[in-house]
Amino acid sequence: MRIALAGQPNCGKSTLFNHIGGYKAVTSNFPGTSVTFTETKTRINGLICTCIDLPGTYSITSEEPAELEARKHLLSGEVDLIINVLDASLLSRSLELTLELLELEIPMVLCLNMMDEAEKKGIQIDARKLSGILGIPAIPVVATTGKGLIDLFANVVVVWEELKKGSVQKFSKDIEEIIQPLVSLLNTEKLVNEKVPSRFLAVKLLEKDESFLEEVKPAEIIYRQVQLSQEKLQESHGAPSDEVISSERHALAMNLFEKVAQVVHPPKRNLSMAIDHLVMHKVFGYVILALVFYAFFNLIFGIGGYIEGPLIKYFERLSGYFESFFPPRSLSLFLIHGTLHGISGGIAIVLPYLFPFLIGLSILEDVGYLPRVAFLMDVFMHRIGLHGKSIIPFILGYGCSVPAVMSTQILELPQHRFIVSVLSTMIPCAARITIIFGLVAFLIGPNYALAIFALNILIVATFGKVMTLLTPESNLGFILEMPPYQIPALRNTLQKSWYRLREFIIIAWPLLIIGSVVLSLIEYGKFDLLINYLLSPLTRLLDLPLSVGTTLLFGLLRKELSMIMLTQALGTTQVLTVMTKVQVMVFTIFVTFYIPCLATIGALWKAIGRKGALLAVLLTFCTGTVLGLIARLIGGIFFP
Amino acid sequence: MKDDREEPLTQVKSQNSASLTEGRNRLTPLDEVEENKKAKVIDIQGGWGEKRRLSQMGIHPGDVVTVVRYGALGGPMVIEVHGFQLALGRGVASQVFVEEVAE
Repeated sequence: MRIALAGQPNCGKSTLFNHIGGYKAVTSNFPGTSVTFTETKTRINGLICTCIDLPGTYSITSEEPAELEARKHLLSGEVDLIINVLDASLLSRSLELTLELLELEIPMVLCLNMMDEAEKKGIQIDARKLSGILGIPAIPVVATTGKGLIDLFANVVVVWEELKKGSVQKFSKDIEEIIQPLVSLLNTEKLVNEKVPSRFLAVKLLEKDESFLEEVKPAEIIYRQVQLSQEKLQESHGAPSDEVISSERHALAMNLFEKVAQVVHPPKRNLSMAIDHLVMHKVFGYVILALVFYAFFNLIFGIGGYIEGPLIKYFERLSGYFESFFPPRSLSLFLIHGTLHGISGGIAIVLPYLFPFLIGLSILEDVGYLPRVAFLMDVFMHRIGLHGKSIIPFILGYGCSVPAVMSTQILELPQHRFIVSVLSTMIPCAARITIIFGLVAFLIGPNYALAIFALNILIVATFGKVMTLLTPESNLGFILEMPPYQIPALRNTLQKSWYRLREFIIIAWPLLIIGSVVLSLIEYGKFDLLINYLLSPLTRLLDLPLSVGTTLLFGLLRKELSMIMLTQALGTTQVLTVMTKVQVMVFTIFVTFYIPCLATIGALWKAIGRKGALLAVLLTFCTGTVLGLIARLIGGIFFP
Repeated sequence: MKDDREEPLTQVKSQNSASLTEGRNRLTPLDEVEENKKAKVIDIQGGWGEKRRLSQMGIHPGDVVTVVRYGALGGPMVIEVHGFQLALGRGVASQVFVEEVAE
């Protein structure tokens, strides 16, 4: 049995999903964050089922990729039951999707989420009355705290056993008179899409849904009837048929809302308004934006640096301790060294930065700050020809390039997705930030680290401008919901950070240890000399020690390996004893830009195709090399 | 139906806002409504995609919206409609024609 969670963006589906299937989905307070769906096998009151968390969709007719994904699943005929999650505080709008879902005639349960928010807004909802009108259970829930979930699950089982499909809500009489003949025609001519009910199909055809129209086109009788009905609607209502239907559904939802809900007192959201007044202010908004990110990165560096120093010392002592046990240059000593470096690399260098970073990002997300950032930055993103929403992949890029590339799905235009995908891989991810902090900030000074970040933004903006100039002009308007601020639930924030961190621990850390051991073996067998020799044209060009060649190769596996392997390849953690400050800068700049890691290349491949991924690899490599070379040439001025 | 416009909207668009206030229809593009003022949506122009997007977000002719704020340097504006807030680029907002509503 397959259960789909469907609802509009930012209605709390992912939070609910996490209650159902353990912690699997990433939640946030940004509309459209779940781009791809998550699936989990679970048990609901003993019922074994597969549960799918669909991306939020405002409507089933849609062009945005995230919403198309949801549509594809809902129309696949493989969904046995829908849990329609509604944001109770936005009930009338949420009901518009519900009305569409009802037409699918799939057993359904309504989950009235965010009842606490609705109460704060002074909206009182009569769930029983709603349930009575629609013919399916409507269960009040607060997904963040888990309130009402037991009731919800019990009703899922009941609906599943009784196959309760709910009653399709009728439009006004004159419209129904146009729909009905079309439905009967579709019923008799059994040649088109059999997976969806005829009424649903008829309505979608009147809404000028392109993919359904395409499907129907070969059946001439139907297609002609559809056109005729569209014209009839347009004639009688003085507007195109798709607008007539959408207005009608809107009116139906409003009507339903008035029947089941009551606004008992005016909303108490003065606090949110007051915060917005500052945060979205024409001047202070930007000051706050700068302060937030300045504090954000400084705090992370502060916490990281505080933990990193002592930990490294501890591991050095441990390493020295082993040296007294084994003969020098023995295989076991190489293996132990390699393993220790891998473990310490994970614990002492990456975790102190990564964990605070992830917690910080989760808090910014959950509070609801990111859409405000998109609002503030739209003007500037527009300058480089991009949509304000594209700031989000860039910001996520400071965490990890993989979700950044994946999140470009929130952009409507394919050419924007392409540009932002490629550019977001140039944004230093947490691993590269670790390198910038660990090498440049730690060894040379925080201001030089800041300079690298500034250079990076400059390069990305320049590329953005050039690339949008090269692609055909097609500006799409900025339309984005500003969700109310929320105090992040500590449990959610920690869980989310842990979930993201776990990926690192499970996938990357073992790779780090293995990579470190392999590098030790390469060193033991002196193969590193071969690799270093092969890469020597590049290292010579950038005036780097030949031994860093291998580390660059390992950086492709995981970026942080470049730095961990650097200390390994150089044979000391005191990098400055063997490299000049200029060399450290050149190395860091090159590593910041050159070729995305394998996981990111995989994500790019999926998002923008093989050619796009290849182009990104070439572009980043060339950029890294050119910038490294420039840094080498002018580095002498800063570090005589 | 309740549509009592006399002149096509495209023509309205090309006129400046001063002459609009003199006319009987008093149609204003949404991005010319002052902050904290309410306005009733009369007509939505623009491309198919944008129109659809707005309708999915719950903005239809007849709805009353409140202009909450304007962004700096011609950036997006925020409006409130049906109890939630929506940021709209000026380009989109200029295609939404409204009639100002007294408090």
